[in-house]
Amino acid sequence: MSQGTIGTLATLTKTGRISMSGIIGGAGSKSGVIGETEIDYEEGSWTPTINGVSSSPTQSYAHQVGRYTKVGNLVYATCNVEFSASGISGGSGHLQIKGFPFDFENVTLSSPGGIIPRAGGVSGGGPDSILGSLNTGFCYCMNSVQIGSGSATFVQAGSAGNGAFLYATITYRTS
Amino acid sequence: MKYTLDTLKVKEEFKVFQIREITDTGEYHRRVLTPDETLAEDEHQEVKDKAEELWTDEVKTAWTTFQAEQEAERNPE
Repeated sequence: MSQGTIGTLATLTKTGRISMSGIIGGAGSKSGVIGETEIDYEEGSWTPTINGVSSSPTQSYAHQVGRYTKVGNLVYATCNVEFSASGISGGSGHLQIKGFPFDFENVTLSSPGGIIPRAGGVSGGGPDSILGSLNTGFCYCMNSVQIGSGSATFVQAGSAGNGAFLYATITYRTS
Repeated sequence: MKYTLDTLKVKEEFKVFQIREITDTGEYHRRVLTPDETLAEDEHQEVKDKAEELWTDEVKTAWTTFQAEQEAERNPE
């Protein structure tokens, strides 16, 4: 096995940036210097909301928890958003999650999507049946998917009732 | 939760705002604002001023048109 010396490989600073540098050397190994390559890194919070394309349901939230990690131009966002248990009204058009921490690269149909591993209180969709895609306006539209049928339909905002909740994991590229 | 404005970046295309705030616990909080949005009354004054300056009717129309085109492509009749 080749042995070498590796200097400081990664340093995470409080400001959220990782700087990588080091020296790889020694007999039998490729030697060289990994210079000062900085990787843009950041983490923080965002505030997810449940919306409708035409009109958003009027309702307060029991939970609105969003976290993100960004490395370079890749954003990994998670959210737990839940309506309060009573008092919902209105809402029409496709159901969306909005409030994302960064814009989407290209905002085209080629944008990657994500999954909603857990959901409830939304008729027409439930665990393992709701997928989605990023869309213009920087929102995440949900599709109810019948596994095996090859078809998908948009979940409607009016189908979100009191206590509706969505746990989502979404990875995308920002511009 | 109190949010202090940290950075406001404007995307050239459609004048989309990329906002980073710092919470009272010291962590970052992020959000994106598009030209079709109505700003909240308690929005940061700097954001309000920038929106007033940049979100012209022309920009709003361009954004709305782009969204409609994308939606049509997404849901062809």
